[in-house]
Amino acid sequence: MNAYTTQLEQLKSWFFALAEKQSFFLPKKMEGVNYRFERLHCVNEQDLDLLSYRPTILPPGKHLFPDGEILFTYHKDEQGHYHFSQGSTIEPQIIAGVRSCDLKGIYLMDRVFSDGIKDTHYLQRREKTDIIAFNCLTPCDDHCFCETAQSLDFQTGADIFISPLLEKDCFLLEVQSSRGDELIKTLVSDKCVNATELKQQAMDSRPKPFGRQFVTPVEQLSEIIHHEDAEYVYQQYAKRCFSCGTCNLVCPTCYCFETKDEFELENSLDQAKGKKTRHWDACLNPGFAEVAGGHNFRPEAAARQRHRVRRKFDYLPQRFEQTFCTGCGRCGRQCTTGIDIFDIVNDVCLSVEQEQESEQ
Amino acid sequence: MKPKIAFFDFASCEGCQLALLNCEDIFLDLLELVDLVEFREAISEKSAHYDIAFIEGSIHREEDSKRLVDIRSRSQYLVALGACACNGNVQARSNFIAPAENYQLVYGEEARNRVQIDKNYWPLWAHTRVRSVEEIVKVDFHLRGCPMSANEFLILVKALLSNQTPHFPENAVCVECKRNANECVFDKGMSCLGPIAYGGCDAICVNNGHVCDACRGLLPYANVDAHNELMLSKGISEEAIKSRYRLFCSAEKMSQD
Ligand code: SF4
Ligand code: SF4
Ligand code: SF4
Ligand code: SF4
Ligand code: SF4
Repeated sequence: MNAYTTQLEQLKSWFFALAEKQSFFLPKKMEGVNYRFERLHCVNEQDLDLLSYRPTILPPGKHLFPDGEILFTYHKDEQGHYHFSQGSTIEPQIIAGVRSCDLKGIYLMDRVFSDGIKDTHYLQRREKTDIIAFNCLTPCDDHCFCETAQSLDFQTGADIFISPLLEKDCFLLEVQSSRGDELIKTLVSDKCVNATELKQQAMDSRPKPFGRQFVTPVEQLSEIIHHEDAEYVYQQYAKRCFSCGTCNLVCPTCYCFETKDEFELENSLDQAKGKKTRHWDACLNPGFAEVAGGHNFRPEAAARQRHRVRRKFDYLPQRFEQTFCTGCGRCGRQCTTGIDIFDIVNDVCLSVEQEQESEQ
Repeated sequence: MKPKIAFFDFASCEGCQLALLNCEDIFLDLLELVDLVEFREAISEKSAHYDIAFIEGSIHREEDSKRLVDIRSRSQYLVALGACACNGNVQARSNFIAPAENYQLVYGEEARNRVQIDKNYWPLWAHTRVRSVEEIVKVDFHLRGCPMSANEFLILVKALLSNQTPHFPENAVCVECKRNANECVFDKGMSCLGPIAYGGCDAICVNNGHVCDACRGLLPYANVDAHNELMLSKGISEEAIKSRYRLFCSAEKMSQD
């Protein structure tokens, strides 16, 4: 693996150079306190805020799985035969400034979408996407809990992994793939011989512990969340939940979708032309688990809340041997009523402890 | 025979019908497929039976209510079109004010006094409350919003004309707001009714820098208590919160007290 050091100014010029050639997405500060991955257009248009930005409203992985994506279009010819064609065209893109938590999110989605029947729409986009990731030296805000969720320092899947160094405005770039080698050609930089050492020094400067920590080690969570109904805990959170689905829609590991069929009117109702699209769905919405005939598997908000927690800490970890919460903190940060999956998990663990104590 | 579609006005600004006329491309396509009757904005003609009757406007007087019952009895599907028909809209705020007082607010002291002695002044106000269409007759579908969404209109008509059941998810505005990657207005120091309001509008107000005032009505599962708490925690007064809930949804049972 090759490593290089460079200065902030060089890094910026490099980004702009890359952005001239293809779609290049970078977090951009919005009106309030949040960031959003937006296309970088020209110099001075966007402040590079790589050191301080907190996770974006939507995770970068959504660029691989866009809402409303056209899966296919169809038309019927004069003989009555149907013809299908691929929907949205897939262009190459670079996503830069991806934090470790979100890198892990993308890694988990790579696993999910290639498990069993492959999701070619996702995988084609993934294949055409280069990722430039960015290391964190301080917790991004008080919502994150990436260390305890084991995603801090996650580097897999990035073509280039950038770490800020102790020396001001100085960065280390680790090239992790042949595509990374291609990308870095245009960067003005020095080959780095003591990369491990420099990186270690920077990481040693991190606060300890790094952000919030679960009361129980993450390895044991699956077991507890699986066995514990914790009805009371989930009820408490459900009381103030709006069932609005925000926590799902902003999560890097929520991938549920619904599909819609639409035909064009064109002066007739014979549905000779149309398309199928898919749209992000959310298991916290009451209609999510409703099936034909009107039965709803999870009509109560508490049951839906429990389902979400179990998806992240029990069901998917059982299948993929990884916790499916990256600790990015988005759900807690963006829930208008302040429900945070970190608190729910801790409360479930604490309720078990209390039970055990009272039994003794 | 082409299906017969009819539009009827009650207390409304007729903006929903205009919203439809504005999407000429959809509208002209549609005219090929249906017979349009009683569309005051476009043509006028009468018909005994309707396949789809669209009701625009809220219901105020007894005679309106009777007319509505008559339309219902002659229609296969009845659709409430727009916020006035679905949830009363702004005019239903008068439900919380005594009629004479209302009269004064709009026409002044003199008019209010005259109303006490001249009974010809009364008829327009001789209703006890502004009602949504559903309070009087069975509604098969709601096309919510002020004005209604042309997109939803098209979904509905296409489905009904091809014997399918149109599906409108009962989701909060937040769902579409997040699909649009909007920054939540609560993070910009503003407040929003999105978490308790019917979506389907693509969160158009937030997309364009405003807040959601729930013109599409409150969700059947709206957690109003939690929302009230949230608003209070942002320093908004109880009075202001109540007024906000009532802005569009006053004819809803939910926000009566
Ligand atoms: S959650 Fe952790 S990895 Fe993600 S941005 Fe915050 S500090 Fe970085
Ligand atoms: S974001 Fe908050 S209020 Fe909305 S569904 Fe999730 S937990 Fe409930
Ligand atoms: S559950 Fe919440 S903290 Fe965990 S990955 Fe999803 S959005 Fe991030
Ligand atoms: S819903 Fe709005 S646009 Fe439609 S008729 Fe009522 S006031 Fe007019
Ligand atoms: S701006 Fe309103 S609709 Fe959008 S997420 Fe926030 S509360 Fe929901």
